[in-house]
This record gives sequence, structure tokens and C-alpha cells, in this order.
Amino acid sequence: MLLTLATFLPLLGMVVVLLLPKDNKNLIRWTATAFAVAAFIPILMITVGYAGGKGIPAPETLRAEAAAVVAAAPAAERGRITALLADARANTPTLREFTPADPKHLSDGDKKSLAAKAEIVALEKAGSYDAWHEAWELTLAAASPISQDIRYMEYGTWIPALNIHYMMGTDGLSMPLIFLTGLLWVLCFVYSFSIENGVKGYFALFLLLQTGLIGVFCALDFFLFYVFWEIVLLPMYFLIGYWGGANRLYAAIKFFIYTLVGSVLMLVAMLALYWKDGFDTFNLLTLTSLSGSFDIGFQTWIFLALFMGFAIKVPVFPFHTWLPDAHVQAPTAVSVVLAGVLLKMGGYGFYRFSYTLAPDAGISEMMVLLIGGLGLINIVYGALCAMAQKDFKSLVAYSSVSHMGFVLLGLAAMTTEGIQGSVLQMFNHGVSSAMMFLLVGVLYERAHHRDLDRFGGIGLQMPYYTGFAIIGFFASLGLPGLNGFISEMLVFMGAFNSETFFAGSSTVFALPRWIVYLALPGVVLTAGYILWTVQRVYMGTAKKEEYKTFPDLNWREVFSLTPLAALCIILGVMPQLVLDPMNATLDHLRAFIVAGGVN
Amino acid sequence: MDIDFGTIMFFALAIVAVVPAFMVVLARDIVRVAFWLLASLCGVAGLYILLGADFLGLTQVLVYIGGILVLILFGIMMTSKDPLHEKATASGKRSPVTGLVTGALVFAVLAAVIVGVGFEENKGVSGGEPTTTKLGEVLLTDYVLPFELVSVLLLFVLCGAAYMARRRREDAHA
Amino acid sequence: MQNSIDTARKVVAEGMSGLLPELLLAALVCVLLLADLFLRGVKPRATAWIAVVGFVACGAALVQRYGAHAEIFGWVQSDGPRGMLLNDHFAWFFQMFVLAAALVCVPMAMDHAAFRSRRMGEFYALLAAATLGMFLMASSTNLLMAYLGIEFASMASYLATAIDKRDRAGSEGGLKYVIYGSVASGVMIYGISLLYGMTGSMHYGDIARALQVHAATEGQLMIAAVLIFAGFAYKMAAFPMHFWCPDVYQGAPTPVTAFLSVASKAAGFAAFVRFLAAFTAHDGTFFIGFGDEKVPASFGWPVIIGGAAALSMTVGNLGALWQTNVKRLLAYSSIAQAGYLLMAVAVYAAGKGQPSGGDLAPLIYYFVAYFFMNLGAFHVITVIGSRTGATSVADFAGLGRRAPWMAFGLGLCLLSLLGMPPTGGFVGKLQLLSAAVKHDLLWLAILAGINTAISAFYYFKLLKCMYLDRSDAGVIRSGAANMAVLAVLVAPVLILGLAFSPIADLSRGFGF
Repeated sequence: MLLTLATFLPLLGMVVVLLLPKDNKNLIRWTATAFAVAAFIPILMITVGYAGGKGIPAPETLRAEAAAVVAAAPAAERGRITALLADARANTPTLREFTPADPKHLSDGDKKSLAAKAEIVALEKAGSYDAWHEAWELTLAAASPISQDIRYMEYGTWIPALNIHYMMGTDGLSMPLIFLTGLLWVLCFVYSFSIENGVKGYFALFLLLQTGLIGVFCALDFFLFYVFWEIVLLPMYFLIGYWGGANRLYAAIKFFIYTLVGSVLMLVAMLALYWKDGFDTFNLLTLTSLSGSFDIGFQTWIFLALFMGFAIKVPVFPFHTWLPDAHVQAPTAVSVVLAGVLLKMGGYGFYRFSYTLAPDAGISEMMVLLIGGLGLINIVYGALCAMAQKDFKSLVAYSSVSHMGFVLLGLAAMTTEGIQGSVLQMFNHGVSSAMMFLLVGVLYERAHHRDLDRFGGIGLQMPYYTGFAIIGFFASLGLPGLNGFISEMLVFMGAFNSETFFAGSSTVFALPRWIVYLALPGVVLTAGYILWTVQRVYMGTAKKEEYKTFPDLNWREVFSLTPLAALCIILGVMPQLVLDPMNATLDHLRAFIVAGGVN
Repeated sequence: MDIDFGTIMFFALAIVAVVPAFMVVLARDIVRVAFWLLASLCGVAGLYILLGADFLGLTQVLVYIGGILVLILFGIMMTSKDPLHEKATASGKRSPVTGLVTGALVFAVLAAVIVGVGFEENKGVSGGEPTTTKLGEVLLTDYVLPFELVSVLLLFVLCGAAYMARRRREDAHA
Repeated sequence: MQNSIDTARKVVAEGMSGLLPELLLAALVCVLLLADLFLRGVKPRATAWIAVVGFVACGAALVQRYGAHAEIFGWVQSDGPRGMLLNDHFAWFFQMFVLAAALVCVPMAMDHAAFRSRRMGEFYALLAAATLGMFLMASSTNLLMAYLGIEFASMASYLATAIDKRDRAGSEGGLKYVIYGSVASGVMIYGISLLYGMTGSMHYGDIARALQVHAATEGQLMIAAVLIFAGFAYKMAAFPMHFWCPDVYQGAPTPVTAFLSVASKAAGFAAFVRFLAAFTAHDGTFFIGFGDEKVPASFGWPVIIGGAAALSMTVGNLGALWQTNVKRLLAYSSIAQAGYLLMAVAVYAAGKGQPSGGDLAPLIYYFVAYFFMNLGAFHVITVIGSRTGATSVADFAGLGRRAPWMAFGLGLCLLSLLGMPPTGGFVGKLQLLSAAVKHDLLWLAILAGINTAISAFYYFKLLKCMYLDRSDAGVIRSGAANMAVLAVLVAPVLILGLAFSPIADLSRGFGF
């Protein structure tokens, strides 16, 4: 119930906002903010509850649902269904007809499969096939090692004709991102009070965006995930296209087309999984439970198709070119959520879908080198690009490219520290990049330009603002004591350790150490461009008289920046606040992938 | 290959059908084109009759020669200010190569199909007997529905053609 | 002689009782032509109401025919009937589809500027005649009947395209339509004569049986099949017979364009699928060669149709990118949509060869969605066009403010045509892709996916214009009746995207 509330309260908010009179701007602003806060309440409850070990574990929910499905079947068929469920994995429905050449030479396994097949056919004749199929799905989902850490699960039938379910849940992987979404929306709405043009549409679309994002992070049915994924696209297009800068239309359609190409490929992969061997299911947990048995060829192309979808979103080099355009043109709050949460959809997708559905492909030499290599390019190339930027926002955008590279590097390493660091980096980057975009926005509202070379001496004029800026930029730089340091450190430790860790492994290809060596200069480059920026913008004397008239932060800006600054510091000192709740999830996930999906 | 009367007639009619067809394409004066078409259509009608489709042959004469061709000639006569003047069919010269190649390709493919297929297995009514009775019977029994539908088709197409050809009263007044 | 006449009498008597909807349409054509003469000056809209009454009566008769399965106007032989028409679920769906499209086009035509205060009896008569032709296309089980149905629908469409004689573009479109149409039907009838020569019959059942026992080589059959396909493709506005589409759609009055883009396409698909089923009967295998050298073979339909589908999508989507006229843009979009629909047919052909059998449900579902999204889009274009004279994409600037509901409706329809959730178009496309993946036409699914991304460019061009471009033009009043039509057309677009289970279930019932 809590997850549903968190997901759909913003949608309700959108409807309410649309019904409000257009001219009463303050009413619209406050209503929208009220809904963002209202959605944040269940999110907080889930966050605290999950960290405290509350919430019903998914396997329990799934088993209860399976039992309910069996109980609802005709009494005559129940025994047959239960018998088939006893070894759900062995009795997988399959379209593959196998007719042995000589029945006398059947192996025991073949005999069992044939018997199961006959039972399934009998069920089909009796009209209970659907009941059995759903119970089978649920049983396998409950057995999946991925599902043991999922809690607050909600399950219901959505479209029986295509076997699509409303299945939501959260675990240590998605929970931090859901929390981040809820928080950023409240902050962004307060910050966005300065929007004067088309207020109603702006807040309505923003609320729709929130529904899409929380849905993306909660959905455990592939189809449901896809629908939420696509819902995110549309409001984003209009938010950039209507409220953006001079070149907004180009940036908006570029963002849209890039993402659409990726998502369409994802759709094809999703359908291939649905039809794979006649499983007929979009249930992610069921599919992960079966993924170990997929042949490597199938896994490789599933991995690549999903990779395209997620890599464009991250964005991974060479698919990153939409990002600077979108960021530079988008209004501040949109940039904030774009960098803060939207990019995480890609990283989240890798963990939740790519590696669980194609584990063998994920740990193969080709993919490790691909992901690790692209991560390396992202880190170094992104930092170099950031250094070359004249536009403040563009610089922050390229810093995102660089920082998301760490996510990939940790992922490719497949070690405990690497994965922890990688997921923590997603959260930390969400905090620090959101903060940086807010900081740029604050300055832009006053100066109406973002040219780095024309600033200077802001520190003297706006001391509070500069204080926040120093925290934000140094967190991004990876200064010890702030959050970015922890995650980057963990990623490097994990990546460095990969070769030692998987020394004797015949299945897992370890991330070669040379990639790590090559990535290290990225840290120096990051320090370079951030220090240079701080120097150019905040130090020295004001280059223009008008800079001396700039007022310091107003209450809205302070309200938006304070929680993020606090998070930067707190997580720099006590990273276990985030790490502890997600450790179990990530450990199980890692063990699952490394074992090639066998559990 | 024994040469009988039928074979001689076939080739004679085939020449009558094909050679004027070439001339239709090659001739530059549209009145000449119309008359070459007349010859070609006559040849085709003759072929139909030779093959035992007497009704089809006569229909060909009635409809194509009696109807359409005369209509074309009327059209030329009524639309031109000077009926005796030569009317070129095409303005400017085009390279015949593309047309020749395309035509040859289409001809080759269709000829290959027609020659290769065993049409003999589906030979229709035997030659010699008049087909009119049989056709009339079939049209009013097995094919009565298409036959009647064609009449509805003709009805509204006639009305539509009249509508298209009619000068609108508003135009006339204006 | 006497015997055969008696038989004919019996066949006609039986056939007539199953032919009530068609007879009503034929009567409607005549009534409208006469009413136009007598009611002139009495009430300009009287003929429109007669048309509505006629279509509704035909619909009632059609509802009555639901569930029938009868091959009519034929002669029975020992191995099955040889009818002209087959009234079954499949035909029923497409007939209902065409009729509904015609019915929706009446209020659109009543609103259209070119038709106001003019004698419209002829137009509605043509609409009824085209509908009748499409009825025949949907139920034909004989190549002769299919050809006649196509001609029937085409003739009426040619005339309807050029109905506004003051409009040069319309006349030009009509003429182009006739010329391309004659070529297409000539090609088709050549193919029919070849196939007739090979199999000895034009009846689909006979053709299927003949292909089982003897036939030409695969190459020869393929030539005949492709020639016949050209005729059907013309009605579908699919590659390679799509050239007429942009000019005709742009030139024709918008209600006619709407009717052509929906009904004509559907009828073309229905007729083609029936023909295809003859080729792929009996598990999709048939024999090639003669006598003892016969070998079973599977005809290359999935490849032929899949190729046509791929080219249709690509040609349509690439062509649409540079269009500035809204109707022309939607014409190219409709070529692309024909490609997506052909994909469903290719999948059907591929499925026929497999134990699971061919599945027409994705095609049917996509057509249901297509009906609402395409007609919805054209409805908005009619309404806005007849009030502001808007023809180019730029004319729609600021529509989001000037006519918010109309813009919302058009926007939703465009998103649906693009295939974004949560609209009917998305679910339709999902089922198409899903079926393609299932039947190992992965290349086609990926191509369709890439095409979807390409199509976003031009659908968003219009969306961008409506919502992101600013315009100072005044508010447009659309009228209550138009709003009602909009609601009827657009609400299902959403319903088909969110709660589509019942319709998806239903669409399974309309196959063969």
C-alpha cells in the first residue's frame, strides 16, 4: 500500500493541479508541493521501515499469493497443481516439443519431463492452466535469490490476457533511489516557485514525472517497468521543450529520440524473454530464477539489447551526447532531477535487469571489458570535456558523465566493494550533482549568463551561497570527509581487487588492473576542473559591478540546498547509513551474478 | 512440326496483334496511334476466336473497337482545334533504353512463367462449340452475384461520371 | 438446363437471406441518389441524416448476422462449397469496422467547410458504395469477387476524392488515384489470370486444394502471387503500391482522407489475408513440381510480406520526416502504419507453418486501435481545418492554448500512432512486436523498433507545434457535436492502452 501511495499520489496531484484555476499561481505551487510532501511521507516510512528490517519479505508475499491462486483453482485440479509445483523449476512449461526417437532409451530426466508435460496438458484441458501457470510463476519468483531482500511487495493482476501483473517492491538497491526521488521532488518544487510562465503545466508535468520515476524503481514486472519508463519520457520532453533555454526544442527532441531508441530495443529484449521457451511471463523475479539456464548466445544479445536501453540513459560514452544539450537547455529544477535521478534509471537498470537476466553474459570477458572500458572512458573523457567547458552548466553536465563512469567501473569489477561503491556512487552523485545544478541555477537567476570566464569574486558577495557551493563541489570532487570520497574509494578498491579476487575463477572474467590504473588520473582531472571552477567563479574580485548587487540566498534556496549539503556531510562521515540497508541486497545480488544465475 | 491451317492463322493473327502494338508505342501522331491500336485489338479478337472463345472475341470487337476506340477518336476530334494537324504524343525526346530494358525484363519474366507452367492441366471448355449459351448460363447461375453487383457498380459510376462532367450551376452563373 | 436454373434459384434464395446488410447498402446508394434530387433546397443536411439512418440500419442487420458461418452464392461439390462470399467472424469484424468508419465520416463531412450548404447526396451515395465494396472485399472467397470488391471500393473512392470540383488539389488527387489504380488493378488481374491458369479456379478453397496436388514451380507461383499482392497493396497503401497515397490524402477532402486511411486500408488487409490463407492452408506446406517429382515446400510469404512491411515502414517514416502539410504527413504515417500491420500479416503467414497455427489477434487489435487513433487525428484536423483553414504543420502552432481539448485529443492520437504507453497504439504495437519475436522474425521486430524511433521525429513535430510554439491567434470554438465525436474517438485510445484485457480477449475471436 505504501509503495502504491508513493507512486500514485503524484499522479493524483497532477489531476488536482490540472483542475485548479490557471491564474492562481500560488495555489498551484502550494498544492503541487503539498502532493510532493504527501508522497514523501510514505517514502520516508518505507525508508525507515526498510532500514529497521520492517516490511513483509517478498518470498512470503509471493508464497501466500501462490497459495491463494492454488486455493482458487477447482478442487479436482489442486492436487495436480501442487504436485507440479513441488519442483517448479523442473516442471517449466515449454513450447519445445521433444519426441524421443526411441521411448525405450529415455533417461530418467526425460521421463520426468514427459510426465510433467502430460500433467500440464491435462491441466490445460481442464481449464486450470492459467491458475497453474500463475502459481508456478509465483513459486519460482519466491525461490529467486533476488527476491529474499525485497520487501513491501504489492501484487495484483493487471492484464490477464498477456499475463501482466501489478508487482511492486523495494530492496536495498531501489530504496535509496526512491528516497532520493521523494526528497528531490520536495526540494525542486520549493525551488521552482520562481517559475512564472505556464505554472500549471510545469507542476502537473513534474508530478507526472515523479510517478514515472518512483514506478520505475519499484516495478518488478518487466511490462510495468517499461510503461513507467516510457511515462518518464513525455513530461521530460515538454519540461525541457517549453521551459528550457534558447535551443530547447533541439535538446528536447534529441533527449526524446535517444531514449526512445534505447527503450525500443529494451522492448524487443523484453518480448524475447517473454517468449523464451514459452515461459509467457514478464515477472522479473521468475525470469531471474530461470536466467541461469539461458544459453550464452541468447544471454549475450539480451544483455546487449538491454545495455543499449540503459547505456543511453546513464549515459555511457558514446551515447552521452544528448546529456550536455539537455542539461544546458533544461530549467534548473529539471536539470536537478535529470542528473539526480533520471540518470540513475540506467545504472539501476544494469543491476536490476541486465545482470540478473543475463548473468553469464555479464561476467564474460567481452562484457567485463566493454562495461569496464566504457566506464574508464566515461571517467577520463568526461573529466577532460568538463575541463574544456566555458558554460557552467555544461561543465556540471560533463562532470555527471565522468562520475557515472565510476558506477560502471564498480559494476564491471563484480567485487563486494566495487558493487557497494558503485551503488553508493549512484546515490552520492544524485545528491551532489543535484546540489551543483541548484547552485548553478541560483547564480544564473542573478547573472543571467553562465559563462565561467565572466564570473569572479562571488564568494565575497554571497558568502552563504559560496559556503554551500564549496560543500557541493568538494563532495563531487571526492574530498575525504564528504560523501563522494567514500564511493569513489570503494569503487577503486573493488576494481583494483578484482584480479586478486577472481584469480582462480574459471567463469568470472576479472576486471584487468590496467583499466584501474588508467582510470586513476580521472580523479586528478576532476580535482583540476573543480578547483579551477571554484577559483574562477568564487575567488578573486568581482569582474562586473552588477555582481556586487547580488543578494545572497533567499529562504527557498536555503531550503532546497540545506538537506543536500547535510547529506553530503553526514554520508561522508557515516556512509553506513546507506550502506548497511543495501549490503545484504548487494551481497546476494553479487553472489547470484558471479554464480552465473545458479542458486 | 506439322503446319496446319490453325497454326498459320495463329501466327498471322499474332503478327496483326503484335506489330501494330509496337507501332502504337512508336508512332508520333495520335490519330495514327489510334488506328494502329484498332489493328492490334482486331488481332487480339481474332486470336480469341481462333482459340474457341467466340463470345469473348466478339465482345472485344464491340467494346474495345466499337466503344473505346471510337470514343478516343471522338475525343481527339472534339478537343483539337485543327483535326487534320499532326498531334505529337510526347513532347521532347526520351532515351528509350530504360523503357526497353524494363520491358524486356518484364517480358522475360512473364514469358518464363507462362511457358513454364503446365496450363494444359487446366484446359477449359473444348474448342468448336459456341460458348455464348454456356457463358449466359454461368453468368445467371454460378456467377449471378458478381453479375448483379457489376450493375450496381455501373449505376453509381455513371452517376458519378455525370456529376464530374456536369458544369456546376454556380459556375455557370458566375 | 432446367436443373441448373433450379439450383441457381435455390442458391440465390439462400444467398439473399445472408446478404441483408449488403442489400441495404445497395439500396442506400439508390435512395441517396434519388433523395438528392428531391430534397434539394428542402434541407441541406437531410441526405446526411438519411445516410446515418441507412448505415445504422445496415449495422443492425450486421449485428444480426454475428456468429454466422456460411459460404453463400456458390455451388456445393463433394469436397466443400464453392461460394463467392464467406460470412464468418473475420468478415464480420472488418465489415463492422468499415461501417463504423463510414458512420464516423458522416458528421465529419457535415462539419467540413467544402461540404457545407452543398448537395451532398452524391457524396454520401459514394460513401455507401465504397462501404459496400469493402464489405465484399472482407468476405470474398473468390479472386473474382475480391477483384470486384476492390474495383467497387476504388471507383467510389476515386470519385469521392475529386468530389470538390472547385478544389484543384482534389481533382489532381482524384486523377492520380485513377491512373495509379488502373495500373494496380491491371497488374493484379494479370496475376489472377496466371494463377487461374495454374490452378484452374479462382475460388480460394480450390486454389488451396490445387496447390496441394499440383502446381507450378515456386518461382512461377511467386510471380503470380506478387502480381496479385500488388493489387491488394494498393488498397493497403503499402510498399510497393504507395505512390498515390500522399497526393490523394493531401488533395481529398479531409473526411474522405480519413475514410480512405482507415476503412480502405482495413478492407485491403482483410481481402489479402483471406487470399493468403488459401496459399497457406494445410499447415503452410504445399507441393511444387509435377507428377512424381512433387516435393513439399513452404512458400516464402513471411519473407515477401515481411520485406514489404519493412520497406513500407521505412519509406513511410523517412518520407514523413520532411513533410510540412499535415495531411501529407499523416499520409506517409499511414504508409508506415501499413508496414506495421503487414508485419502482423507476415507473422500470421509464418505462424501458419508452425504447429501453434497463425494468429490474427495482433492484426485485429492493432486495427481497433488504429481506427480510433487515426480517425481521431483526422477528426481534429477536419475541425481545425474547417475553422481556421489550417493545412500546414505550422498552422497548428499554439493549438494547446487555442483549442485545448482538440489539441489534447490530437496529441493523444499522435502518441498512440507513435506507440507510447499508455495508449492503444502502444499495446497494439507491443502485440505486433511480441508476435514477431515469437515467430522468429526478430529482424523485423528490431526494424520496426528503429522505425518507431524515427517516427517520433515527425509526430513530435506536430506535438511540438501544438504545445511548444507560441501563437497569438484566437481561441477556436469547436462546437458541442464535434467535442462529442472527439470524446467517442479519443476515449478508447486511452482505454485500449490501460484496460485492454477484454478487447485483447475479444480480438482472438475474429480470426479464421
